[in-house]
Amino acid sequence: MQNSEKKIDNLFQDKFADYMVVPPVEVWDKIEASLDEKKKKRRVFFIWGMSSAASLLLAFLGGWYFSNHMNTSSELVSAVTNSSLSKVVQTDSRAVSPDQNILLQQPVSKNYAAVSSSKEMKAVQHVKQDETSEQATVKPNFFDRLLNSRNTLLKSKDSDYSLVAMNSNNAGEDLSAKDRAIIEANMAIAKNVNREKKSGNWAVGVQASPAYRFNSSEKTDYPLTGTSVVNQANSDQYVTNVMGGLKVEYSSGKRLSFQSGVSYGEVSQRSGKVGVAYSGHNLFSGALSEGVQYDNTKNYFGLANTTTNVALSTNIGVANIELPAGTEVALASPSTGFAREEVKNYDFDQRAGYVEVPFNLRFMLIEQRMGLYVLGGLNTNILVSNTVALGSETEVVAKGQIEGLNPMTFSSNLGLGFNYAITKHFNFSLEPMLKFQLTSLNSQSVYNSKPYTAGVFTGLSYSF
Amino acid sequence: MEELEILITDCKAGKREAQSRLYQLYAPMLFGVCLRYSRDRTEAEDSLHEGFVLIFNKIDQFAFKGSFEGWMKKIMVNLSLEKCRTRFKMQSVEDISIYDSQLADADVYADMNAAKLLELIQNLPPQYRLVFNMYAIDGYSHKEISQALGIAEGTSKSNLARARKILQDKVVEMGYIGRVYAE
Repeated sequence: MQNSEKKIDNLFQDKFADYMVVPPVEVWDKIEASLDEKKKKRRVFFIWGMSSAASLLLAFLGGWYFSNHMNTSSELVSAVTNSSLSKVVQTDSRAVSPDQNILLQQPVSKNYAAVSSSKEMKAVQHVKQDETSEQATVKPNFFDRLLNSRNTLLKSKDSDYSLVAMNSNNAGEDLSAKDRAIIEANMAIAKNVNREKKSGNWAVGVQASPAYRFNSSEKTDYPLTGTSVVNQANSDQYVTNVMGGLKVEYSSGKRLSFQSGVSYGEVSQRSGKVGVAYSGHNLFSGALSEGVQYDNTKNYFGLANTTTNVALSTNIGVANIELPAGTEVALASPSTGFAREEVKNYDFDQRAGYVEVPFNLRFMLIEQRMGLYVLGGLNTNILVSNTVALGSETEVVAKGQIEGLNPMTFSSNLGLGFNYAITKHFNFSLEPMLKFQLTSLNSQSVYNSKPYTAGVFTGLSYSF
Repeated sequence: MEELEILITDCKAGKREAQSRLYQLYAPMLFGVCLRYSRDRTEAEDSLHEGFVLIFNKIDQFAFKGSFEGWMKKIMVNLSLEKCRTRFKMQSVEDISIYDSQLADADVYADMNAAKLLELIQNLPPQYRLVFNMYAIDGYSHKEISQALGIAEGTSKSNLARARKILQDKVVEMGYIGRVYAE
């Protein structure tokens, strides 16, 4: 028995183990058509995603506008006198002319659509005003208003409208089969919409990178003339710091996605040493004590008469700092033979903090668990902090601000990225990026300050 | 092998040319599978169509572990199971001892050609066809079959026994006719 079982199995196994049949040509055509359709669908989802984002924005702006508008109108209405109130009621009853009885005789509570005819709306609006004038200080939310106004609307009618008996309590029981069908259809649409949303991919995450900044060729290191300006001759040392923030990503189809987010970064410069001396101690000894001038050969630059307001010219701009009375500042190290012992060495720190909002397009080159992509786009940089400090690690001698920084600048991004799907939802990414400043950080024409920024962002994101 | 990896990678990237090449390479083998698991040629063509669309959509998930052929075959088999599951209700356990010793010893098997055998498989009741294909040809165990089809192991065994019996009878019948003609 065992043997005959084996035989029948073997017979089929032998014949079918490597059984091949060339399928008809049209099968491939069908497959291609299906694949094309999928692509089209994705495109539709992308458009759908973008348009829904746009409509959300519109809805938000509209809501914001109308909420403001409504507030004012309720204030206005609150000023309406009793006489005009009666007028309102009059208009109201006129608005509900017999031809609308049909509408009204349907239970209004069934379906808000019943209130959506424009004439009806007018009626409701009038009553709403009426309402508002009665309770000028109370601002009920939209649905309360709608319900209230409807009740008022119903009550204000004569008793021959059977509607007065209607209220929201038994509304559910009054649903006709047709209404239920409509509700169900709407629910189904809503569900579908949710499902469609999922087929586009959203991701949110955090990312951070060291920020290496260096200057473009347009370097401004000439001294500014004036009594209170010190030039930072050797000061184009940008401080490497950390930039980072949140990122949001919408992936349209397989390859292309759109990135935005918000991040923070500081353009920070630390100059060479600045010598500072306090009252009674001149910066420089001997021949260079008072009235010292810029000396190219000896590589220092001092101030003759100390004022409390000092400006330092750097690559980003003129830094205005308020010094304690009697302080002197010079671009000289106490180690030079000219400086007195009392001169202290301080660092000159400039920081301009920017909130960056990027708009990047990302294109996948390799789509695998370990992926490779290129990305590029525009950054809007908003200046949020601007500080200059003269001090050491332990103390700050003076503080100030950089003059003429643009409140908003633009830069472009270009980068390469690797990502790795840790799990289905979590993604790790590594993005070497270059940022080119498109507009100068400083509005003053002598400072064409467009530092390059390079960084390697490491990020973690969650997609859903 | 190297070439196949490149082809798969290109397919992952959605390159139509690579997809077409992959189809050319594997469609005959997979169409063979589809034919075995289907009732007729039309159904097999549908399966091949749906199966390849699935393969191209899921190819991202292929991690170059194990045989690619096996992976594709599994997709096809699962698709066939899915189709059957939605179309037919699985049958319950029955006593399989009645089929014991009824299988004839047949030397006629050698005469059978694939087209005829295929017809026999296709004419089996759907669930017998699945079980027989999976067990006898594709090497699944009863445990795996019972899990895949959502049936008891006993059901799988009894289905297999019934399928064998039907096939055996047909083969003998055909073999006999064949012999008569040969003589």
